[in-house]
Amino acid sequence: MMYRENVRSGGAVLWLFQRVTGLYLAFVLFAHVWLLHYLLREDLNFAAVADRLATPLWKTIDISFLVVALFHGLYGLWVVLEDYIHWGWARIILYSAISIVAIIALVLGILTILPFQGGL
Amino acid sequence: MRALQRYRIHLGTAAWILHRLSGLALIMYMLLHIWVIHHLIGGRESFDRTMEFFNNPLFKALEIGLVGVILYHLWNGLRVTLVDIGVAVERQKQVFGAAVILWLASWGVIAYAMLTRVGGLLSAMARLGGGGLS
Repeated sequence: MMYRENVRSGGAVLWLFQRVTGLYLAFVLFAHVWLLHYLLREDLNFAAVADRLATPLWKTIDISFLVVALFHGLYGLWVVLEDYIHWGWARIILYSAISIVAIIALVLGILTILPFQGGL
Repeated sequence: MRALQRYRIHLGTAAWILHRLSGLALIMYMLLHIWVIHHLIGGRESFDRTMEFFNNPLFKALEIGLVGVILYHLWNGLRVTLVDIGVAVERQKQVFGAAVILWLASWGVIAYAMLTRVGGLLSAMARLGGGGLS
């Protein structure tokens, strides 16, 4: 039952959410890798990705991918760190650091995806 | 019997440590990936200059390794979820074996696809050696 540390810390909903997001990532990540590293029969460059990335459907998929992956990864990191850091303020600093990294990555990702117009 | 039990505990502990390590590696990769792809903001030239750095056999080989790390985390995560919700708990060994087989099989299929496609590792190596694969 060593996997239940996040339940113990009071997050049964978060535990479930981590599983649901993991399942979502399994499908989106598979499609992502298959599309970009198999179906695309050339080197990855601007010409190869721009048209697809400029469509509203892919912007929606990629932003959901970004949000879900950041949540799953950084919440997972938080759960791991909780096991090793027991000091009150050290936890607060780490929690803040993780939140700041999450926000920077989220903003950077959204700025990349949302205004993208394609063929420049 | 005792030896068997210890073996099983060690296997589970190893899988657990690998799950955390693969997760940490994937976080590092994800953040770097977001940073690299953000060069799209700078337009075609900025992005192509960035991607030029990664379009070589070394990174194409590393990408195949990355897929292996992702797939380990994926299949072991599913296995752990089954344990957590109490499915097939009395058959944990079989579930573990199935997860390992699915991990290696899915990695094999995707690695083969990434290796042999045009623009993949083999064609990048051929291009490097002046060959004519792509």
